[in-house]
Amino acid sequence: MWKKVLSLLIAAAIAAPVSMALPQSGAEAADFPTKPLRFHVGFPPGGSTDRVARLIAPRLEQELGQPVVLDNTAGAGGIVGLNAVAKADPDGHTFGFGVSGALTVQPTLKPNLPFDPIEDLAPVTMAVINPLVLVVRPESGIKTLQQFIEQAKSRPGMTYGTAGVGTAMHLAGQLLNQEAGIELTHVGYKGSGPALVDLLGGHVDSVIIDVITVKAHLEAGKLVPLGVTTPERTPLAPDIPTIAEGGVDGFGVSSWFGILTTAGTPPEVVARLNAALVSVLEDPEVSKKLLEGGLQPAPSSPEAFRDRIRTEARKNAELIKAAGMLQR
Amino acid sequence: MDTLTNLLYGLSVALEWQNLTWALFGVIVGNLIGVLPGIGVLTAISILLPLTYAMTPVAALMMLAGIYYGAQYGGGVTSILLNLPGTPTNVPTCLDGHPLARQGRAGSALFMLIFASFCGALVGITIMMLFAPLLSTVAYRFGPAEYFAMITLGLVAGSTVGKGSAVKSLAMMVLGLILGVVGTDINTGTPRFTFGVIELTDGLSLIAVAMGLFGVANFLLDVNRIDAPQRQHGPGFLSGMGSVRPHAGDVRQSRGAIARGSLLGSGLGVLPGTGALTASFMAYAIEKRISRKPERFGNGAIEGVAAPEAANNSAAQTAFVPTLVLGIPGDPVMALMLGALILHGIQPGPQLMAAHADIFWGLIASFWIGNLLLVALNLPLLGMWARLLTVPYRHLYPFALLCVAVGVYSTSASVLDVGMVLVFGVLGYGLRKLRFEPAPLMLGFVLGPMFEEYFRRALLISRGDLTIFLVKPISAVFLGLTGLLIGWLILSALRREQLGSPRPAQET
Repeated sequence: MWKKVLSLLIAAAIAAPVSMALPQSGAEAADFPTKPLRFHVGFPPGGSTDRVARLIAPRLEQELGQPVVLDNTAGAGGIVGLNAVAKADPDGHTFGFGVSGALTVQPTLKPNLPFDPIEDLAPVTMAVINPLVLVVRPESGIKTLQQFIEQAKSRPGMTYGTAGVGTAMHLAGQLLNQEAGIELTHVGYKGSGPALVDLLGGHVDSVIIDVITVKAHLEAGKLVPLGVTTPERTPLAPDIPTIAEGGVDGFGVSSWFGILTTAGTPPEVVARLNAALVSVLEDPEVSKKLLEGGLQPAPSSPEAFRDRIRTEARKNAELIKAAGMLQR
Repeated sequence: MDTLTNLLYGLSVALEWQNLTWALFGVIVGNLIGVLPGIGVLTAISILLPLTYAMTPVAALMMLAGIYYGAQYGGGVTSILLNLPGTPTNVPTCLDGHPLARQGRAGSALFMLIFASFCGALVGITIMMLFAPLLSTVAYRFGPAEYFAMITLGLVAGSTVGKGSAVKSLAMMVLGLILGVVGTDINTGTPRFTFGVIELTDGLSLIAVAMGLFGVANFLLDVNRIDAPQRQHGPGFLSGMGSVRPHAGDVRQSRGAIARGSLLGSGLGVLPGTGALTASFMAYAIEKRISRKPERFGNGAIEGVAAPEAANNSAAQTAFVPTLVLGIPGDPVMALMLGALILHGIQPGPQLMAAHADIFWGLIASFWIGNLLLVALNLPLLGMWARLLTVPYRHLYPFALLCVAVGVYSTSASVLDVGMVLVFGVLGYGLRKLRFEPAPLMLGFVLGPMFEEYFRRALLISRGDLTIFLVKPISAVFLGLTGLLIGWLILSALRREQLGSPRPAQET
């Protein structure tokens, strides 16, 4: 709170002379940014999005020469924050985190979103990938993905837990069901923590979860990894094979978040923002901190990010329909 | 002996100059945050999280933990003085704490708050110190079926927390259950009762509902009798408020309540997900149930302050067990603390206790120091808190309202939540005018969503087989107790009818 108020005051103090000195010149890239920037985190303080935002905001201020004010307006899995970005002035001064769920899953699950994640937002850059892993207990005797799939075929009603309906973890499970021809039952939790407790207690048979949450358990041998969900291995745990390597060809699901601004922002401004953000994310100090926190830095061009959102949104919509996730 | 050596080692860590300073800073901030209504522990910790970047991991964790349990002490103060729960776990404290203050016994209520909190915390820490690894296995044993059975018992036991008509209590609890349904269905992701308002897909904010129904409703009720306390009670009333000396017998009367509350809290605190909140409600309900004069509850029974406060403080301590021993965060605050450890390159997990003994035992030792400090800090302040009531309502209430609005807003920067406080304030006012008590509503609102979540999850896992609740021993025991309780309730009602005496506790 105080920090926010303070940073607002400082922002105002710095902004006042600047805006007096400069005539209103529109949003031309050469001038951008002309005033303090607003960074919508989309989630309450303390989560991984907030951690990343607080890590990159000071560096971004250096790059852009304007204060970056963090806004933690939260709700509905990041939709509320993105809505504020979508409805802001298209001058690039307002941007925010879009998580994969909000951009590529919610539009299919919830047809009444107050904005169109594709039409009303301008992608700036992908930020980080949060690698996921399928794990079971050592007591299960399962050591490989193939054994897991065989058991799931012979024992119907095997369960997998995730952080909740419509998360990347849930989609990964549904995709595994579809591609491997098995019928795991999804058990949704409110976040990864409770799902992990139920796995350790033997109440669910498996869990799809972010690597960082179970890394210590894996190292201690308390859980067995069967495969990461990303198309490639993750630098966070290079020893774990991918699910695709484990025999499910072409398998790939990632949980990620990137940065988007308002649609209609001039391309030069988006390019300027992109350049600043990419250089911050590629900073060795920043990427080391991100990796320590379990996130893979993954900066990209605006175009690549846009393509990724569109491709994944389409694939997810198909998956959601095929899996019957909408019927209930 | 081993424990003693470890504790001494922990003390040596906790008493290091830097660690001690940050732990003390943490409890003081926590205490303040608790007193300020609306500002949650989560908000406070996340604001101060950046401070920890420069600290050692041990100091960082001690500070954050200090905020967490320090807030439990402070949270009861406004519950007693203004009927305004500082944190949701202090809701049950309002039920008897505020009536006590109205009777001019704010001093004794506040003293009991600190005393019970301290006792609860000590029991919690001691249990944690001796049985941490054992307790952590308890957390594993509780699957969805066990949670469901436990919550069923909680709901039935708690159905009597309200004073007055049993039918009205039941109606309020059902209303609470319905309000708890608002949000996103956990199994299908379908929004329920959100009316297209995107913010409502996360459900109604617990803190907003609590602040509205208790605090704001209370202000509205008092508006028309703004100087009533003085007029009703005469000039001696306010000086009575300032007296912090506990009534003779208060402590003796509350001994059992504190003991039961502490044990219950220690037990529930270990279970990730239910924790302090459920513990304080259940502790209150139990005291009322086993009391020989249940009609005293809600009208200023000192045990009604002692039990929930002992419970939520012991739970706040043992809540660290799954976090430290297993590396599993029980609630968002714990997740934040684990996040702080990750920031320092420490992987929380099953080997934390062995690999980082300085963290575990240092933290335990800092709990002892922190709790002693909290008592030392709060006892002299009691008189000051109590004297807060001598501030004329026309100054005090607008200021308290402002604090509520700012606090609620700061949780998720949502204006909707502030509006919700007002809506629930007006609703609470109307209900109180009609003699509906808000306490059962809160209980239904808190336990209802968990009740549904665990019930459906258990059936999902058992593939629809209802016998899962009876096959699992822990679950069967809880359900058996629930059955006994219902049977006993019916029997005692029948017996009363036979005796021909009207049900007591009907009048408000």
